[in-house]
Amino acid sequence: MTVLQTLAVFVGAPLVIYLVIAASTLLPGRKRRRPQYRPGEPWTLPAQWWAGDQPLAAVDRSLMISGSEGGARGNW
Amino acid sequence: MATGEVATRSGSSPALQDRQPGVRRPPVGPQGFADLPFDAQQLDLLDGVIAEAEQTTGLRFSVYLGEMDAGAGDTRAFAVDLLRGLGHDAPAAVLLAVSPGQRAVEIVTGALAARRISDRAARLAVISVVSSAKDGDLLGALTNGVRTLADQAGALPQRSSW
Repeated sequence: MTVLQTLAVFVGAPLVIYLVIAASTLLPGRKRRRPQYRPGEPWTLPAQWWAGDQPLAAVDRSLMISGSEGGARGNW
Repeated sequence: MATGEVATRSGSSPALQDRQPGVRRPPVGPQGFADLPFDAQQLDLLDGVIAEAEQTTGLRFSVYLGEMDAGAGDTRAFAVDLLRGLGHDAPAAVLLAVSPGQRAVEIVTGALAARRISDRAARLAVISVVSSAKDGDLLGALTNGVRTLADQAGALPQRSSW
């Protein structure tokens, strides 16, 4: 076993392993970064709708008969 | 098949009859997060904010992110329809709808929720949503909006969950 072979096995091989692992952790994350929303850009993503799934605390249903929706709106 | 329709087993649904190759249909089952605006951690945060708001106020909180009636542009009518789509919970529900494409925010409170959250208080939440959305921070806009609305609605007394 020559000096070169020894260096290749005990220095070169670990170095290659380190580099492969480092590359596989760094590269895919960069590529799949989510595009940041900027005001004024068109919105092409599908619509999302979330709501809680736990049952609500019991309320008096007779209160709900009258009245209409309220709310507010705004633009930016 | 339009969004919101449900395929039934009775065979009457057109969605089950026209099985042609090459027709794109809505995906079934768990989907990846690659083309969604938020990743899993951000969705988890939003989920926690909604759950906390519901637990403290006793109201149903609902958040919509996407285009609101792209054709006619009547965002208010679209948001009210969304709220009514919550069915049994609709009177006690609060909907925060944000459309980044139209740069519009709509807050709709159901008949009962409107007694807890006045229109003036909803306007305060709109301001906090707009200030975050202006910077491009959509997750901050949604979470701040829900938190503001929950603050304005006030907490239920402790004994309500006994």
